Amino acid sequence: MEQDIIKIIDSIWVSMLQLPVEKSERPPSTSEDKISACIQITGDWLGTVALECGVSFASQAAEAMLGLEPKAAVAADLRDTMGELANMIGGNIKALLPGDNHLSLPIVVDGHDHALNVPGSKLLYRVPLRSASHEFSVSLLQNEHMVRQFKAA
Amino acid sequence: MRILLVDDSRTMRNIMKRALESLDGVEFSEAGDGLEAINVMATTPSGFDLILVDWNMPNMDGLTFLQKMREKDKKTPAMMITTEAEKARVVAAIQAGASNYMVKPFTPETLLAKVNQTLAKCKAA
Repeated sequence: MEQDIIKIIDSIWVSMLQLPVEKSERPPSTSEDKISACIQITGDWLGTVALECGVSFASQAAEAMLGLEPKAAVAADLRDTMGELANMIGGNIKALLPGDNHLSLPIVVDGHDHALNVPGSKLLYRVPLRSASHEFSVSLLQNEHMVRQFKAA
Repeated sequence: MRILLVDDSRTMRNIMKRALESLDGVEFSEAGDGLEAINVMATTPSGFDLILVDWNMPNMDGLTFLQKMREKDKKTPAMMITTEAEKARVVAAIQAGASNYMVKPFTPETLLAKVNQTLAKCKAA
């Protein structure tokens, strides 16, 4: 699944941002404000997809997707862009999951020193990635009740 | 050519506009959800030559919008552009009245090609 996630991100980044992606050994920097965008998958499979990055990468992504000059993106642009990227990642991951599932609308949080907590969920994968010298990560969490069901089956 | 873009993401509407701005005499209208799109259509008597609609949106999703739109308008080409990639979703969208279907992500070139394909298909029908 981790390789599938990397392939999905690469496809989105190349198509929408014209940027290549590679696996990183480091998590996103904690020295700058960050943006987290998550989307929930509900149905036969329950879980969450989260995209986390620093504002510098979010700015670069917003400028690329909106066709803006460098430094021209405002906070609303960054949130909208991150939400749409999370939507694309979530939709493409959903297509790999078993059963009939639905996507929520994206939720975006920004600011310094925040953490995402999805109650009742277990982290399945956290994939650290790098693009245009910026670190970011994509995580896949599954509802713990479903994890127990699959283990029991 | 008048195109209605229906997507809750301003980023996506902007990407679509930039990808399609080479179409001859194109003019864009925008809506952030299905409900707003219905209002835009109701206040645009001259109608649209093409509608591009996302699936997952607040207030009214793209599938419901297509169903409601087709109650009154059987002809205007409408293309669903979404992250919903499963075959069952494609079938549901076509049954609801989508003339064509495209999964995000896309490049500007593939969107333009798909739009031209949709317009040609609907013109020939």
